[in-house]
Amino acid sequence: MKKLTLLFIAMTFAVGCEKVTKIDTTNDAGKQVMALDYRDFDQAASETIQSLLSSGVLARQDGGKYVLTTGVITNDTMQRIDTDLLSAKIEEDISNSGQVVMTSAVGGKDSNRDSMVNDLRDVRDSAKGDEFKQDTMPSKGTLIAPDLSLSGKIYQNNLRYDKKNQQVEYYFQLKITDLKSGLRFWQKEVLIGKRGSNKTVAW
Amino acid sequence: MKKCLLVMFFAGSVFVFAGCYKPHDKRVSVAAGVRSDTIENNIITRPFIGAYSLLAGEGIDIKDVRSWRNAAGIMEVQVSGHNRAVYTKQFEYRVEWLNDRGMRIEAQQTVWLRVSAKAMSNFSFTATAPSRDAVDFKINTRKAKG
Repeated sequence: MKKLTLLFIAMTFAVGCEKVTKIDTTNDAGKQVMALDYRDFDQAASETIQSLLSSGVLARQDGGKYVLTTGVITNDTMQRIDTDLLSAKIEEDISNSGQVVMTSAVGGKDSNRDSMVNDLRDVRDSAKGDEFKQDTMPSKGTLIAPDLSLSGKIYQNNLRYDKKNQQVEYYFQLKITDLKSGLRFWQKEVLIGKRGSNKTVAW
Repeated sequence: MKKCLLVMFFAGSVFVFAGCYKPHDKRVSVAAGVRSDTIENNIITRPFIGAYSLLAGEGIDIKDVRSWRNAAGIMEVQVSGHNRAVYTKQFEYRVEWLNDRGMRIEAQQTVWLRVSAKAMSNFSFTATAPSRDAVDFKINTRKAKG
């Protein structure tokens, strides 16, 4: 019994002493990993945003702002990735650039839409709609349709480099499409390549 | 005496043959092994030059920094430089954009990005500001890891 108690105390201390450090995400000098980590998303987003702002496609000739929605960004990698990790950064910066307005009325996935936009309209059209002050309810024909859509995919290619090492290539491909004409205004590919031991897994 | 003459002849030929390379338009950088030999990349002198480069801690020099506003009125900057080292130098840079009050503009695009500068060659990189509010910038660099 005594031995068991001692073992329990020792284990408690051992667990308590495990070192946990917070990542310095601004100046992270940590080792690279074969899978995609936040630094890869930072790089892909930064290069994409700079290409987009440099291209001038978001600047309307009449001085107004385009309405942009995020369509589908496909995860074609072996990893479980939420593509919002990429699109949220891009949306944030291009909104803050003052050249576009994002819409939450339509979008390629649930996280790009705000369900309240439609919910409130459902309430308006239901019997409960009479409970609301009518001039505070959205009228019909008030939603603004998007002009442009951001879409793309993240693709992973695994290759055997030599007997001991593998090469993993990640392609971030994004494009902006004009929804009225279907014309593609801009596109960009960012490649992130990694080489490492076969023992490390890239998913 | 014979040995001394042999060494002198050898050294002399290196200089004569290495001297065949003629400077060209600086906008075109011709890599070692592609262009004619120079003192820096001759098969005999290269190890000594390499050792000197390492000892002297040769690295990159910034030659030109120019900025402009693009068609959308957003500021862009191009940094050009030269890698004096005899090996490829990888480094990272981070551009912080400042508004007219000198305040930093928060942006997701402000991250460390990598540049690979080939040995004894010119390099350049460009950066685009996050908005029209940017009027100035600061660029930091650090050694690339991994």
